[in-house]
Amino acid sequence: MAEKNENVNRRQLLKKSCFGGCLVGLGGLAGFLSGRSRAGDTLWQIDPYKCIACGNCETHCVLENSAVKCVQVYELCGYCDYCPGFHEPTALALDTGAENELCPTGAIKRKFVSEPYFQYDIDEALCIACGKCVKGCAAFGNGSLFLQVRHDRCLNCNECSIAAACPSGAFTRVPSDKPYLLKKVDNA
Amino acid sequence: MKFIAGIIPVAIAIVGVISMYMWLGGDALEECDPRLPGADGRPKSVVGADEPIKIAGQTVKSDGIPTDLPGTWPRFRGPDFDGISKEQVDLAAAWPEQGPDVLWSIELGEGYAGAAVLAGRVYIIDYDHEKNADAIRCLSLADGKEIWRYSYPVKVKRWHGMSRAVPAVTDKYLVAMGPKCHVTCVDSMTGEFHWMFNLVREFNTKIPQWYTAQCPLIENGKAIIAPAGDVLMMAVDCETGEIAWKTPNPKGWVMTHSSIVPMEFGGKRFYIYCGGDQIAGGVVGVSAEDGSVLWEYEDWKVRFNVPMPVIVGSDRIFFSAGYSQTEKGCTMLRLTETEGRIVAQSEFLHGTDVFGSIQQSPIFYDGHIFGVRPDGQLVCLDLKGEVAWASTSANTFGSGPYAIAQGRIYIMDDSGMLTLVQASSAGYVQIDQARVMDGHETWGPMAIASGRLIVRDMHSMVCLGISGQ
Repeated sequence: MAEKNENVNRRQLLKKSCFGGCLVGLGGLAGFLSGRSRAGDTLWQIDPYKCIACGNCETHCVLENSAVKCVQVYELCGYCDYCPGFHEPTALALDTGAENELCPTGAIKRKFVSEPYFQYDIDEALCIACGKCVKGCAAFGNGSLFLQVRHDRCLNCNECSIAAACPSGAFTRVPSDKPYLLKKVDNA
Repeated sequence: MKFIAGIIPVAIAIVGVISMYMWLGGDALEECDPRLPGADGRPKSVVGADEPIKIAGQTVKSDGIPTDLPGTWPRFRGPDFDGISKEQVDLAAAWPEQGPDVLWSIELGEGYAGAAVLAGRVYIIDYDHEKNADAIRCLSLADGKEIWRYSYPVKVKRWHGMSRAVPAVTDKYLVAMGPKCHVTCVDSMTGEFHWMFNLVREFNTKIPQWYTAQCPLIENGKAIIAPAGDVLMMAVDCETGEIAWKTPNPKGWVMTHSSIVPMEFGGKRFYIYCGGDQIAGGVVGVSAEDGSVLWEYEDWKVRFNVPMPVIVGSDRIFFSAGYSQTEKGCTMLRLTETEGRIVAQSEFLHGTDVFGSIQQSPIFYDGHIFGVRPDGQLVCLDLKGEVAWASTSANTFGSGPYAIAQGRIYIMDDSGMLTLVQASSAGYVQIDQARVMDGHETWGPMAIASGRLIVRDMHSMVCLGISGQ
């Protein structure tokens, strides 16, 4: 029986190296993802009842566009024509003119539902987490607008620079299988 | 080589010029999404414009019986428009452990409308969800049983509650303002219909945000109303429904939640109204005689005027606000008369950090102003605008109502906790506290009569026994 030639040429070496590298990468990715979603582990989140909407979420996240976004709990919202989370306090008119909106990037979309109700939706791609809407809604509205760390954006690096800068201790660790702290109607 | 060295800078310069031309020539805004009015799809129709001008109502009698208790609280803020009960009734200085006795309670449609009390009867404007109707109800002060109701159909959707205004009652007439600005006059004893105005249809009134809370007033047989539409204010003969006088509204002030308060100064009686918004608005004093404007003050422009102006002595008026505009919390106007002309000038203007009131009307008592600031603290303010004391963040009352009787403040928080506080400029002294309701938003203005305190939350009303016997 002829002995099989075990010599590996350069092309095969490169091919096998790439294959091995891919396997290692996939394994690492799988481990990373499973680590992020494993129950029992924790993630950073904002306690909406402690948040004072100071604006640090906009400026202290390591991401260029903060992982923190405004969220809307529709069950709590009053659907008002005048919305203190949407309108400037001195708005000249209750409409969608930029000069009358509180949000600097137009991330809150206002839509007429039926008289006298208006719906307010968040366009997360535009939200910069400045918290202006949250402040207005908490002070004069029902508090249905508040900030949350969006885990599809957060790096979960465990060295959260916003948490370090949070003046009210609102950043807290939550179980990764319950990653959001949403307000409830009973607590409104 | 020399040629190449020479052509490179020229080429770079040409490319630069072309790039600059293309950059400047391009429309830098073409990818921007302009934020313009109208993107919300708001229809152009006027709210309430589809309501009929005159709505046929119906009086229905029930088996309630009025009592012979003499106490009166015949309108918003009581007999003297000041939120103070001056009845000589012995009131309990402290309550039993379980709080004041609940003498009766009734279910109501959603809202914040408080009660008026006269001749052993309790009057409220309610909303009948089953019949889609405003219902002016007369109840017995003894047990809360209904004596009669006058209701008229009008579709009202929830908008942070529905009915909000306290009726005005005399021994002959009752005038009530419905959430969508229907002003109705009925016989206060029998509930028989006298007249109605649909302010939206007849005077182009714009319904305020969350429906109107303007409480009517009746003086000398005339209902004084501020439509703040085609006319700013008007007096209506309660018997006939004829308009006695109208005040023009050339500046287009819109209706607010604030209620009219009468005052006398310089031998003239006038009605004070805070109208308009942060763009066109202010305060006006309208002659009770003919509706002419005696004085006007335009520097008190706020988006949401809710509290009633507070008369302070013979020549001052205290105004408060605070919803969304923190820079305008309160101001004190002093009236002077020069050559027969009344002039109003501000003595101070404070932001809400010093004092402001979002929806309840402060009380002038014993030389001081008492009221709840937007941060929820009960505050005692002297007449120079200095805070004498505040109840601290450990004692907050949200947006609840308050009234004073026999030197004590009865003050409610948002969820039915009633607190008794000493009405003194010396400091915050809490006398007693009890949970009297379990409901949501106990914001309806209080009424105190014959040793009874009537309070309400979003869905119910209770009558508490607060006498000392």
